[in-house]
Amino acid sequence: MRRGRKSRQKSSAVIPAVRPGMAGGRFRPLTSSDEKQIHQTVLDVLENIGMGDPIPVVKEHALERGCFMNEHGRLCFPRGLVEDAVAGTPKDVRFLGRDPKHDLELGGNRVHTFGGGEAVNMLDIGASSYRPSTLADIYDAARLVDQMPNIHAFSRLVVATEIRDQLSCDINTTYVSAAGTSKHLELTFADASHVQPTLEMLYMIAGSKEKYYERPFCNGGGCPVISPLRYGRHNSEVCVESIKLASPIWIVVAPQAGATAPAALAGSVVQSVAEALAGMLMIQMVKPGFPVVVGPWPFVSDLRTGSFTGGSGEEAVVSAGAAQMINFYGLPSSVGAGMTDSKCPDYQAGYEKGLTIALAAQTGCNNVSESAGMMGSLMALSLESMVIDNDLLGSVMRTVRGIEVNEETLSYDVIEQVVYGDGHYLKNQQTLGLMRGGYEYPALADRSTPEEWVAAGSPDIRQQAGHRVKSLLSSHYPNYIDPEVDAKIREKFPILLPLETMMAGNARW
Amino acid sequence: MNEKYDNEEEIVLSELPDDELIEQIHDDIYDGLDEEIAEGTQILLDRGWSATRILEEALVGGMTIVGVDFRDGILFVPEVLMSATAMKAGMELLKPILSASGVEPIGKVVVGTVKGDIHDIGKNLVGMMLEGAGFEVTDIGINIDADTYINAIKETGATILGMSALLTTTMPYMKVVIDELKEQGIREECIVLVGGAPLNEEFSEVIGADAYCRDAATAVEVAKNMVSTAS
Repeated sequence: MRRGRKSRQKSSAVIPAVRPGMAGGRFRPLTSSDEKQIHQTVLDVLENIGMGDPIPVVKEHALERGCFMNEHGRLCFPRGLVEDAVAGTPKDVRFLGRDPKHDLELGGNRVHTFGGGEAVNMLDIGASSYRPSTLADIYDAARLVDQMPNIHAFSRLVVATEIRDQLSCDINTTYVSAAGTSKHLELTFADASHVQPTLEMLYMIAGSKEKYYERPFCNGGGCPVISPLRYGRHNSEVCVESIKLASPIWIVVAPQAGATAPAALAGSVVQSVAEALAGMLMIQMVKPGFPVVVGPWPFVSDLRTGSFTGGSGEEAVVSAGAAQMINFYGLPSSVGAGMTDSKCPDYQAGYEKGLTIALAAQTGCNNVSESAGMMGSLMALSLESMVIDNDLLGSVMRTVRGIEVNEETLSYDVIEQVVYGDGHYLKNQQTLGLMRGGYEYPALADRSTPEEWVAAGSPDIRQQAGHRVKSLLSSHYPNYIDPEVDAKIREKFPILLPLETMMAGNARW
Repeated sequence: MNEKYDNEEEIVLSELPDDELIEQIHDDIYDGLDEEIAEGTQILLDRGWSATRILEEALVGGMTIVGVDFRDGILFVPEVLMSATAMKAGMELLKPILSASGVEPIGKVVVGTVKGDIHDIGKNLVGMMLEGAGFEVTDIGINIDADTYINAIKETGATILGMSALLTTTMPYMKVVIDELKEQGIREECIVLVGGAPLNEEFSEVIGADAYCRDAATAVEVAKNMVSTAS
């Protein structure tokens, strides 16, 4: 049989060096004894201090199931009930894509990187200041994520700030997200009453109600807790109502160490885990056994100013610790990482993103969220950053994959062959077999020689990223929503992004 | 906080002459010692100082130093909160006297966090810092709708409205409040200051606020400037 180069390239191209869901878990900032102590303190908090302001439906179900109100009028969860709820909550959950090739299996130590922070600004290509984000930006971000192999799902990275009506804003955001990518969509809602109308549109996009529920490609969720330890009514209602989307509820809490959580990092892990479990418990009280993704996101304050710092060493290690705790429970986990405080894609952004994302991923976090494109402590989205971050994520995922050690990879025979033979490995079968699938190649990182770099005009990575964004966005206008269906959607819903701005040759690209 | 070190002389506030006592009050505000501030304020009252003079020279003077060091990054937020709390202990004694004698504060402010939002740490800090600068602050809390803001302005006669939001979903509500002020014809009587992490100057302009204040120290500076230009 002829073993040509083309067939070899073809066969190796189908096995990329990194893929979604590779197993992390080698980095453990907490010892087993630490885990147990934190766990016991979390149970103490939920049992004795409890949660303030539960919404009526949750309170009612919780009291029926054995919770009680303490003398301060707070809803308390007995430790046995918490442990039973943890045991009864699904350990492996799925985020389905419109396209099955984007399906994600969250659970265990399997690492996925996606999600973003509902920023209100955009940092345009080459710009040195922010501008308010719009609906078109969400569409463009979705189209870009659609082409980024290391960003595994899509969420509302920025807010359509020009839309004042919140229902219209939620519906339009969902529409442009589904139009831009066939990856799983993580939705948020300003009000629980927005879930049903959004679902009506999702049924149309899917083809029918039945077809949506065959492959529920959207989930809902949000931040149902106001730290410290109080339920927030609006988002609690949204989380409960989002059960209708038939996809795991994404629970995120973000207490800020030193301001709304203890300044001691262990205490901030305790409180954020207790609050995230309280979010999980809220769903389990109303609908036992319904899947959730549990996101304790311990944020860190810069106590000189009181502002949030997402890029600090404290943030990196405390988030990894929080992810470790949720993995300790065996529940699907989420933390925020990559939330640089730098305002633009520069050295600071690189090291802050690299450090925080790498630690979260190495811990085995199932959803390393906010990990692509976010700038300025979650205040802005940069598409340049997103394509650089895609490289960064590939690189991090390569470290998550680690070093496979077996008889073949230990390579005794290969070493022997080469030493007695060619004297180098370049032509060796092993090299040829591994050079593509065994190595991750960044699209943007500059590995040229200094001479080549100068000859190219000494570009920096941000310039290169800008070119790449323009090239990717001026050509990729997917048809994820059938034109006939699109017309019907536009009849029924107030879609604010004109069709002509959703095709090649528009004024933006 | 009241720990005295062996090598440190015990300070008896009542034995200090006026100028040293004022200096000590400044130090105690800086250190966030509320009991000492209450004691020092009472001593000055007993010595016949007017409430206005105590407020300006002792309390506001002390908070001014705190504000400068906060702006310069020497003092951290928790320390500023403690200073503001200490100052408040003195204010509690002065307030009844000031209002009985009809002394007007340098400005009256209503602060609140907008409807849908309950994140109020920043707003609380702004309120305390404004009080520290001699403003009369009415904090109407969280999740505030337009009517509640406007009623509070009318009831207190405030000339400054401070609104905060932390969430990107709630910040647009600030415009609703400003539009309602216009609707009721009282927009011009009122300086509107806005703040909160997701805001910026541009947003403040777009919604028609008078100024965006990026932190509590800025809020105080802006409020002082605006009041002095308005009067």
